[in-house]
Amino acid sequence: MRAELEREYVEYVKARLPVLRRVAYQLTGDAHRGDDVVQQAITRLYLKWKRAREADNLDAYAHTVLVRVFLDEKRLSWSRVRLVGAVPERPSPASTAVEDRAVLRAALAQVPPRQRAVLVLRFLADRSVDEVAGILGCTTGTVKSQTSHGLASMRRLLGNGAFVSTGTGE
Amino acid sequence: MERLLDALRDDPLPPSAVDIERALTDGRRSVRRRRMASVVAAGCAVLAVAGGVSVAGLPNAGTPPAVEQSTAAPTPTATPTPSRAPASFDPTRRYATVGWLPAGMTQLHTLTGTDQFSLRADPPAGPKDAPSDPAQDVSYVMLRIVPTGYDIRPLDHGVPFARKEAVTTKWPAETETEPVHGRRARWNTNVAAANGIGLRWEYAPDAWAEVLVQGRAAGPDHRATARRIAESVRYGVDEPIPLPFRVPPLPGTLRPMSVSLHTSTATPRAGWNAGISYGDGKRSANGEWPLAVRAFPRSSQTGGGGAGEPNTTIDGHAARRWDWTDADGGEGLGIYGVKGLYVGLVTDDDTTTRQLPGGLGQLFRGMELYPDPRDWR
Repeated sequence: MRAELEREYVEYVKARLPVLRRVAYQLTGDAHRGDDVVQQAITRLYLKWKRAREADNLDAYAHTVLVRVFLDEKRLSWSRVRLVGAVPERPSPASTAVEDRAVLRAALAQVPPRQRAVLVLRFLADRSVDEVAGILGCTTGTVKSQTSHGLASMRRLLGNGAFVSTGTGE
Repeated sequence: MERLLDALRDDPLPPSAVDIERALTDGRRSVRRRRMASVVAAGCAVLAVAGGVSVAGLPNAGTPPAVEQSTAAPTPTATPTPSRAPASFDPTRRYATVGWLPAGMTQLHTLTGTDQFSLRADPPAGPKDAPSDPAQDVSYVMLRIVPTGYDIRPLDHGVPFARKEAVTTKWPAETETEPVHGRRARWNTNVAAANGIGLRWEYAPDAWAEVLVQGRAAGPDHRATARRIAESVRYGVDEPIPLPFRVPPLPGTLRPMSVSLHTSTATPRAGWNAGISYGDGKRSANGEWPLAVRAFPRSSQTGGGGAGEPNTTIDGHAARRWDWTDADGGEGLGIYGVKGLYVGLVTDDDTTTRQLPGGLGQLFRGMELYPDPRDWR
């Protein structure tokens, strides 16, 4: 890659790193694993940079790379995953915001990977249904159904207490 | 629910462990590898068999392999063990051979380096009947040997690697077992994928070998197969590896660093692929050797099958040139349909190219090619 393109790439990655790290953290539920995913994603982005920089929506392109690394990682490591059937521990009524986040994070981590990706991209990375469909390479209908299933999974995991607010996912 | 998820928006993150410089280094290395592969592996279906770029073959391509292939019960064969292992290997010579392989292993690969010697055997690609003995239903077997003081690293996509470091500190997933050739041995379950088993043994003081058997399905125990292969190993063979080409004399800084040879006992005249890499002992920052030469049967004078279209000619042969101007530079030259072969030559940087009088074109003109495996030398 030419030096000027490399500079451009470095500037972009530096600027977007906080967002990419946060999305990866939300996808993986673990900051260190999230950073591993980002590390792989930005390496792939380097290899695709000439095409990526020409994309209509570079951020969406970067998110696509990130999510695919995450999903690939989940797929390749599937045999090593020990499926946990237990619902995350419910917080006490006096739980703090920190504890709420921990419970939410634990619940989100148990949502199937593609549904989790949809929830994270839509509700935490503020991507539209169309953009999420582009990132995941599926139809908008699939995004909507995955959203619905993902939210249902969250509800099931978190129970029906006052802790859970309402939402349709649409 | 969406509002509930909002609580995760500002979840505090620890300091970043992401390294942009490492991404640049890894990215540049991948670009280099792709470029080099585009020259020396263009249109080469054989390379895909072993799942990596560094594949090769076994002894005397074109003749039946010097191994017994049987489904009979394992019968250890006594072989002398060396009292001392080499400090390094000669990449142009075969250090060891195996005397037995499971039935049906027709694709044979040799990969050498100063710090490693490996033989890998695969069944032919495509659907096949399962052997009557499930323990021999394997996707590949591999022997890896390293010189004194090197560790055998976990497999990386089937490509063997050695690393010089204290060997005895690296036994995370191993259990002691009966000796091999009277030397201490361990089972290694930490192999590349599930259904695999590795048998490691100290073939000479502070020098280790390993046989990997990668099963096709869960269930069968491949330990007997691994042990039988290990017991059939002969060390210190020290035979030249026959190659389908001879490269003219090179500057002293370009010595053979690695040989890869793939042969097929099923299709000996068409199913081979041979390459040799040169350098002064140190890989480039891109992880490559400075000069690589490869040849394999391909009579077509045009692109396709992964080969780019020719953009020049060399002595009347269709050819393709690559000239990379960024980073360290480097050149590639692929010549199509020379005596029924594709020949690829590639340098990793401009410094290496300048060391070659007349460049890659002149290097090609000085090569002797032996398309018939019976003529290899």
